[in-house]
Amino acid sequence: MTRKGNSLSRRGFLRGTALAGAAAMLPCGLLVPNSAEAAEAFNPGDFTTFRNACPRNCYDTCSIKTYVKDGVVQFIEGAQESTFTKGGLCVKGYSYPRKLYSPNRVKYPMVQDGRRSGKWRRVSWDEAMDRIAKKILELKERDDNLLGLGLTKYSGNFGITNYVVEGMMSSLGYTTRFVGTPCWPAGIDAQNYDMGNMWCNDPEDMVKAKYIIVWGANPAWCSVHTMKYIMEAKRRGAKVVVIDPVFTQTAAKGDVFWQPETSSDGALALGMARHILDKGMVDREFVNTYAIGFDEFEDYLRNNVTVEWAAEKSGIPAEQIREVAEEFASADPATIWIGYGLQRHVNGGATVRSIDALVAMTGNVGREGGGARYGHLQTWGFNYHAMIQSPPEGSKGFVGGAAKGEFDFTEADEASYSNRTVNINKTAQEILDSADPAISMLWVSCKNPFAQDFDRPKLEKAFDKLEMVVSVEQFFTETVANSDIVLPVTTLFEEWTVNVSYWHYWLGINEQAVKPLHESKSNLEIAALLSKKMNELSPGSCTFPQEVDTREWLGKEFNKASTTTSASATGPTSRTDRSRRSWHPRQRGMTTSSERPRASTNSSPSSAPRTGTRPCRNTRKGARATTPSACSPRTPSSAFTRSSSIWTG
Amino acid sequence: MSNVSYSDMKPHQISGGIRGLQFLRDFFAAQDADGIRAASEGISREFGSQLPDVVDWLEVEYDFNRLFVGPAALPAPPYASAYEDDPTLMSPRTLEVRNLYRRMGLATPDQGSIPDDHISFELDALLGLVALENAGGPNAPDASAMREWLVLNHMSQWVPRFITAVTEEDASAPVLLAIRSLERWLDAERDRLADTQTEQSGEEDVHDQKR
Amino acid sequence: MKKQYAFRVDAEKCIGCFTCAMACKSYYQQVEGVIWRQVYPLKEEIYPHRERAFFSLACNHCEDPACLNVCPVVAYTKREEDGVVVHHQEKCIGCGNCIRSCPYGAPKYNPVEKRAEKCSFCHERLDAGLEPACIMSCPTEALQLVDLAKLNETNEVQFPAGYPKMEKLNPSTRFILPQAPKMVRR
Repeated sequence: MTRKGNSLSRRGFLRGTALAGAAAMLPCGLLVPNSAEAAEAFNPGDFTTFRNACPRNCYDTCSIKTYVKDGVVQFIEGAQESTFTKGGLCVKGYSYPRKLYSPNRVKYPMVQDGRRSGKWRRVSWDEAMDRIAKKILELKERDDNLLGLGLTKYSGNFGITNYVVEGMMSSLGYTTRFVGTPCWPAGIDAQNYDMGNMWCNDPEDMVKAKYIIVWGANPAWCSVHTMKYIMEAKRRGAKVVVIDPVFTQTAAKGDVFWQPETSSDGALALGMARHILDKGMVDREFVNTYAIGFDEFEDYLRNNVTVEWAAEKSGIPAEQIREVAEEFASADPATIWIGYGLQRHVNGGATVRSIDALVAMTGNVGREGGGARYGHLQTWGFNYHAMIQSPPEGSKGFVGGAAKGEFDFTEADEASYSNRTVNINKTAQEILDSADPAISMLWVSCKNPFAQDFDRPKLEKAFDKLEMVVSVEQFFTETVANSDIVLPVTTLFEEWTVNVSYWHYWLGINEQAVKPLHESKSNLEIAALLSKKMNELSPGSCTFPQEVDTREWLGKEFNKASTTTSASATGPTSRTDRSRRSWHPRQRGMTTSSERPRASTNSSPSSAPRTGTRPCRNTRKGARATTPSACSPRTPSSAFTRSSSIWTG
Repeated sequence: MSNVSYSDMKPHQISGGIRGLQFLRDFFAAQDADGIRAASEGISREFGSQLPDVVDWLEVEYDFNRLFVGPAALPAPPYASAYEDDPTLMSPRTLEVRNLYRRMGLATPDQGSIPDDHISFELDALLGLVALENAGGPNAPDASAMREWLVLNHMSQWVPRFITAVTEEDASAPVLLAIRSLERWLDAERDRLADTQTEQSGEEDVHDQKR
Repeated sequence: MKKQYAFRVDAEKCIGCFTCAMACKSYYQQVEGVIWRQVYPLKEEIYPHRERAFFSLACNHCEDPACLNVCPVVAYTKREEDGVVVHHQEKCIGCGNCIRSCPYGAPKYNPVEKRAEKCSFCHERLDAGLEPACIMSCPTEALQLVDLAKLNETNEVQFPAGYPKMEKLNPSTRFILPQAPKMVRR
């Protein structure tokens, strides 16, 4: 149907030809007898469909439907069952089959004789694991612990089972982890301070907004599926204001475009707040019932902020600020989408808090169609079964208060040792500075530090300090060029996992649609292989299971399937506790607030606004009492129910 | 499969002989320096071309991997489907040889992992077809037709481009020897088929597979 | 009026993401150089901001198609049931008349088949009750399937600036023009 021009089937003379029974006598050394029926080979029009989910670090986390014939992905489309994805992907999503079938994938485990030398040798998985395991054992012998083994991993594949990489490290012992986030911590801190939790409205309810400010976000490029809700709200009469230092594609879709000076967003928000205060447009019912410290905020605004000051800081005329502020305050409901760009600045946290205050003082927090939308982690309540692994008995590690790693629950073990944590945003410097023991071996997965981390020249120097670098990759990145061993990893079509968004509330199952190409393996399988080799060389040196059924392991991320297996691996923490923790971003270590509490408070335009609201309410005013959405559009359990039809089907 | 005697075959039908073809297959399927060396020495013998006296086989392995294996982007991927306008593996080109193997009662090991149109599989299938042809009997005419199709309609579409891709690189001597031998073999095979072909099969029914 | 399926190209909603063009290519896997649907940024004389407004264009499935009229071998037909103009590649002799005659450049030459081809409106999908691949893929619903016989035209435009005005052919595509925001710059 779609793949065009099959020249063999055009040739009539081959059509009826089958060399029955000939195989046994052939001198073929590579091809093996085909166990399948040697009948007519192609039945056009017959596809098997599979569910996949986009593993990118992207708002949209699309649900994909994959059409397979002859064990080959023929084409993909957006799943229509997801009201968010609604049948469409993005241009990158549609290119995924090309990624799967690119002739340039990393195909085999390979060893490089000299970093950046380009002198690669193909090795078997067994040999690769042997080299890796021996190095790990060498470090353990030398240092009496495994802190010389470092892991750097981020969001290259957001499939939940890929947290097995952290799990694999834990199952070896206490290691050094690059933790933190290069992405959105200031905003998370801000929203946690202000709202008690980061919990954004369902983007699908944006159609109900009467006023939308897209502030420092460019969904036309970064969340294409949300654009339809914004445009629909606009069609229904909502005004759309886009604030961005760049005239983006989203800006072109707004009614009004503001181009302020960079990093002046906080001043703009405070200026708008001051004007709303002056005009008596504050939602007093809201602030009296739900806000803490609004009086101080009011004083702060009156004493420190004027609209003219905001205009001077931002370059947006005072008249404009007043106009938009009044419109925003009088629209019911009104919402602001807070992008990640404006918090990547020294005053980033305070900027987000200023905007939060603006949304709260107009009574738009916790409202369907309203909200200070930043992101959420409410659907991330998995068991993290693949991740939570225990170190081998007698393992030694870091002593003292380590910063918590992402999704790190090992504190529940009450162990005297922990992993050593270093700053993911200082990869090069941390490697160079590490001592007692120095990081000597680095495992890189779901990440390309040479393209994504700071200080590229220093990275090369830092990597040269390492005795062994293992990269798990799909393609030959610069990090692979700076590695000793590369292991080929599966794409979304070749593995089982589940993906969720930090924006919408759908869960996407990711089925294995085709056999892994070449010799690629999933991170789960790699962990099992390594464990097998570790235990072969030194029994008991790795607690990770040596055989995994990846589909079964996906199931273990869900409550029902986990009951039989998780207890032994996780120690005293109850399952309920764990899943609750996992969607509490602060405990998940998603923020750096414990390390640097001043990062988001001391660097505001003047000083931080001290407003706050109580953790969200589900209902307000009788008319909305029946609306399920509010600021917690869906609890994790209801989100699970919503997608369970995909899972079971 | 290894218990087949080649003595019955007629080497003159193939440039470099059956063994030459076998060594070519093994060359492109090699996984390390030892494999490359064994195949290269075989090719040198069967095709009557000299290898340099001193060869650093480890360097040849690096070069071989750079061209054909990875992990970096390949200047000369050894798959038919990599030479289409829009190179994606597992294309209709791949499936057409899978279909051919099926008709021979064969399949690639772990079908669906290494693409069926890797040159070593195709050369392996060709060895099988030559054996069937030479064995005579009821399968011989079909085997002959399949061989003709494999060489003229399939391999001729991409192997010359593969050869060019390698020769444009600064490839090591054993790799060049293998590539030149492959070229000689393909040329001879095409010449032979052109001679024996009595009529050219028309491109009838071109569109019957479309949608 | 008889049923006439048409593409409704809403440039107000279109974000120029090229997903429609990619979905078409991904679905049909046309050979290199053959493009059934393409996304064109509007020139600055038409829309004031560079690369910020787009038209997604394919075959217009005209009422009186030039391709059909010039084809010497009746390789084109216009479907009675929905007005879709279908190119039957098996009948095509590759003469190129249609390619030269279509003012919208819809038919393209396929160098492998040595024949013409063009957007089919995914008629085989329509027959199966599915939307065309491009329309289904559009994340902003800027590209839509409409029946001109039923479309209650309001702000639709048939011949926007920059699009050849061929009234005799009566192309079925309808456009919604892009809007520009009020600009407040620092």
